[in-house]
Amino acid sequence: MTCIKWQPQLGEQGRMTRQSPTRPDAQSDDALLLAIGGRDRQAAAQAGAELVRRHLSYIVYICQQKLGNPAEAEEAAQDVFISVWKNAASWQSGKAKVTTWLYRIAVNRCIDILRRRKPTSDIDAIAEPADENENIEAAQMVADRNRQLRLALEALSADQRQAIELVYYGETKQGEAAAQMGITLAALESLLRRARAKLNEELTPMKEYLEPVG
Amino acid sequence: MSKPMTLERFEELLAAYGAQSALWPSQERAAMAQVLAESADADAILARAARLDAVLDTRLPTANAELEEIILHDMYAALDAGNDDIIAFPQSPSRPTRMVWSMATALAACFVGGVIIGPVLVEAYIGDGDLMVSFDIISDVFLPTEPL
Repeated sequence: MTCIKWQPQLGEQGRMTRQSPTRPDAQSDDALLLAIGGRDRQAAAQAGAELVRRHLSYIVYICQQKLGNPAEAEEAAQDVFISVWKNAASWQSGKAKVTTWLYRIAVNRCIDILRRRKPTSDIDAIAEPADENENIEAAQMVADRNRQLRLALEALSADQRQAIELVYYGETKQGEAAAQMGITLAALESLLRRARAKLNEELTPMKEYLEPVG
Repeated sequence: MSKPMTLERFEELLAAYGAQSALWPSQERAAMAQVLAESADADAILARAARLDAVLDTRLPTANAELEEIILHDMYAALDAGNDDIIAFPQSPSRPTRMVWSMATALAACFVGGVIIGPVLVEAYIGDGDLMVSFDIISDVFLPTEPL
């Protein structure tokens, strides 16, 4: 299986040159965890909020995959973050990727919930699959792609982002989207074109990854 | 009948709406299909737009805002309490551990019933009297005298 190592985040690079490196949105996951486990309460709170913003969707996704139930997945995600707050102080930088650590916590919590759900079933039957490394790698890629995409969308101007959210993700009819944004259809089309051109540029490494192998 | 679409207009629309015809303005869809049928280049142009669509489609669903709020609330509580005071979510023990605990709990209940409560009852009924007499009294009081 080909493993793509993502280069330093596109878009994030540009932002980092304009912003203070201590801002949570410019920090690595590793630095965020160290800040959460640190003594500065304000910095810890900011870092925690950023960690949640970055990874909550990913954690819910993992839990949903394992549990197949949205309500339980959300409950598990809440527990995962409680565990993060509890263990952040003992986080050892460089030992593992933060997303791998989060994955592990999430999977363990899901196994625990599955045990609770099926008290009479054989525990071995709900244990982790044999090749968990492959699962971690796949989940890692999902997390990386999602982050890359989020950063690319955040790099758009506010109206470009709104146009993409409405028309592409929201599947809103063009006329309705233009009306919501208070612009003409032609202006909406132009906005979407510029937005997609920028996304095209920002997301080139991901497109190469998704290129079908001939 | 709609006007034939030029390849240039086809590219413009792809650049704005992507490769999924459902996202195109409805009045342009028929012309889009016609261009695809007639132009050899159109397929390649469409495939390029579809690659960006495929990347955009990898976005995970946005997490529930209420859940995010709850998690942040937990975080503030944890920070206020200090990390050591956080109560971790309860881990359900494995089956063998549960069995051991169940047996231990049952034994403890027997111990409490027999050793602690028994003498208390005896004391309440007969004070410092003979132990055998106390058992008779307990059986008189608590056990049925009539055959079941």
